[in-house]
Amino acid sequence: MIRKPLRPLAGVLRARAAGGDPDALEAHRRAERQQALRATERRRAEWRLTLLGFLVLAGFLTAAGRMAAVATSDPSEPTAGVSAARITAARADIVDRAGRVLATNLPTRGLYVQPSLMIDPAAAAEGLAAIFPELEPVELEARIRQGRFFWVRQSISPEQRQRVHELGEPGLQFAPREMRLYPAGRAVSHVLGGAAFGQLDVSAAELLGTAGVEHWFDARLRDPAQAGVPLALSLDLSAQVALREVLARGVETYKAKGAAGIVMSARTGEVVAIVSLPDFDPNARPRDAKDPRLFNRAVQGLYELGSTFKLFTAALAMDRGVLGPESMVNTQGPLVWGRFKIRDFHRMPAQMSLRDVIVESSNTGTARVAMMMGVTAQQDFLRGLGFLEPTSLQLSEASQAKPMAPPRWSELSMMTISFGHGLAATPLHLAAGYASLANGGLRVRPTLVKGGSAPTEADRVVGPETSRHIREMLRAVVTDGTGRNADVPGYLVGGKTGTADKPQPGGGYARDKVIQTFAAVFPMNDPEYVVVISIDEGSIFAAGETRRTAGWIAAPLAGETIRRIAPILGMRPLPPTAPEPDAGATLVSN
Amino acid sequence: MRIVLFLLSALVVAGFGFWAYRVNYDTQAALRRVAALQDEIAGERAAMTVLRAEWAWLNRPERLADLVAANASALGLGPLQPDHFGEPSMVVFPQVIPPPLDEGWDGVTRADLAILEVAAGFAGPRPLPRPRLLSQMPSPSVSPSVSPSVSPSVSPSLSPPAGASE
Repeated sequence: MIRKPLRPLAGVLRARAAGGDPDALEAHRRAERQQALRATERRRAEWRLTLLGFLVLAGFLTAAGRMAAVATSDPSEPTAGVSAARITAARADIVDRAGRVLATNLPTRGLYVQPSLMIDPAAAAEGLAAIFPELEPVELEARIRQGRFFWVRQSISPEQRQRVHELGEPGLQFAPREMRLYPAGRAVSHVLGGAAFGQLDVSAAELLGTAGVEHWFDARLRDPAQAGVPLALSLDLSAQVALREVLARGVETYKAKGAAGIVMSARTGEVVAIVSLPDFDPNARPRDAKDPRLFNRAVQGLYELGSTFKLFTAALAMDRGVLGPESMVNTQGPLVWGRFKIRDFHRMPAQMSLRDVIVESSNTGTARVAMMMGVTAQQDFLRGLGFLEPTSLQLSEASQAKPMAPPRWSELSMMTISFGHGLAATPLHLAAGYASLANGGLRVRPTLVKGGSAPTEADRVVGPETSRHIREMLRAVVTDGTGRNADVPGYLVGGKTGTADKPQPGGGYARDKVIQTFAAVFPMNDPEYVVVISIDEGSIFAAGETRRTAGWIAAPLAGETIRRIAPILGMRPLPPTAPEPDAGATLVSN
Repeated sequence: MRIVLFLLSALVVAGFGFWAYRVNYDTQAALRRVAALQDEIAGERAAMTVLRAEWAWLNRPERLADLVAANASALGLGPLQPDHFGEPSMVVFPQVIPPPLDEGWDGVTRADLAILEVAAGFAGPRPLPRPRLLSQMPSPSVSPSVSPSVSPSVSPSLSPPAGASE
């Protein structure tokens, strides 16, 4: 590039020769040069702006194009990267404490009609009616001709599916479904409850728990993160089946209206078996919500539990140091209070020790003990044992069963409640109460989930000494008292009978309609399990008269339950020759 | 020189293009394989679910009870009872014969011997016949065999309990 000198000598000379001013010339030239420079820069700036504009436009167009592409394309899972294993079962299984399956899923198909694809509605309606006899072909055809999508069946068997397939009708389509299956059947019907379809779609359907454990743990069972981890319950399927068998035979033998049975760990409150009769097949759950079979007597049934409550009165008196097990109590009857009379079931001596009041089940004696303690102490004690609130069991039914206590807790209420009338609670409340008293005095909260934690000192309701006396009394009831029929050699069974008159709808109590309850704890030297058996209106003709007391009806069933369940739970009986060890020694179990 | 450089860079670009093309198709093939494998896994899982459900269904308590009742004569099974617990003394352990120590066993004590011979004719450990319920006793003339001695001729695994075979 050839540079022009700023003040070329030739130019200066030429300007001088022409008589001009070389400076002015110079200034003119400089101005020209600057103008040219500005023009160039302006061009460049314009070019830059245009380019920038294009770039921005291109950016916007790219974003808009991408958005349009995303908006119009079908969504798809990212296939690359570590994709989690696809979940096949949308609802987690439920297993018992040994891992035996109680509830699982089975893939099945729903059947629907897509009229827009339908070729021959008449033939399709005929064909469907042949496969599903309860369908009406004429109605079905009219419905297809309405031209709207509808479901025919929510789950069909593989055979039915094949037959529908063979109709060759493109308007009949299948939707994948998961069906809840309860292999254990009737034995676990009330605990598990049931599941039903929620939102329906042609590609999947929601399974929602409708009752029992399925309802309580619905969120846990549907949680995709835990779908592969089965929910382990504290139930033992073998024990559950055995308990149901015993109760079913009992209902048959005693012509009872129903029965409830609970086997619960006395230490942790884990429910090992819980049965209510009559029951139903959970695989074909009754549709009608008012069906009496759906009622869970063990956790929903509020009953006055009768003499089993006397133990709580005695425990209160002993724990407060008012009476000892050998303290004498006035048991003269009848005890008159206003216009009410409290009588005993049979004649008793005028004075008995507190122990004998429990063993012989004296109403008058218990009422007098309650009078010594007072209303507030009784209320507090029962509240401490959980008798005034629903149990903590993980069943929706249980959380709604609030015990019925008298609205005005008068002195008369106190006296009747002391021997089990006037306060209605569920058999599960009773099981928890007995477990709390017998296990050393720590309040037990029933649970259905495996791995329940034992209560701590913070849950103490009675002292260990009181608990020991309670155990001795319960054992004495079975060895010398009303509960003899519940004894099982080798298992040191203790327990208490309770025969409660049923209240009549119009008020007052029915004459010969009773609820027989037996609450047992075994082994008595170191309680492991609590068994509560409750029979509704059982009776048997034995030894010359019709018997309706719990000692004749519920106690033998409790004994039979223990005989069947203790070996299943791995407990060895004590050898028959050995003397009974003192309460406090440990029974060996495997 | 320029032309060489130009050709070289063109070759490099072409090479990279070819490499990218191959990687792209390899990736797509791998993704397709992953998808196929995942489908297979899902299928296997579904099959496992069905098999587990069928296993549980076939083992349902009602069915087992029916089977036990139907085969009562062959199996003689009943509910577990408290008197069904055995004692360690009821187990027959193999009789052990130590090898002779008289020849060539210098410095070896009996305690060192790891290899022990089981008595000839002993067919293996077996439990004693389990106690039978009174109702199942066939007749008073049959004495329930509770002696721990086992005759060598009885095959261990296939024979019914000694009490039932008499």
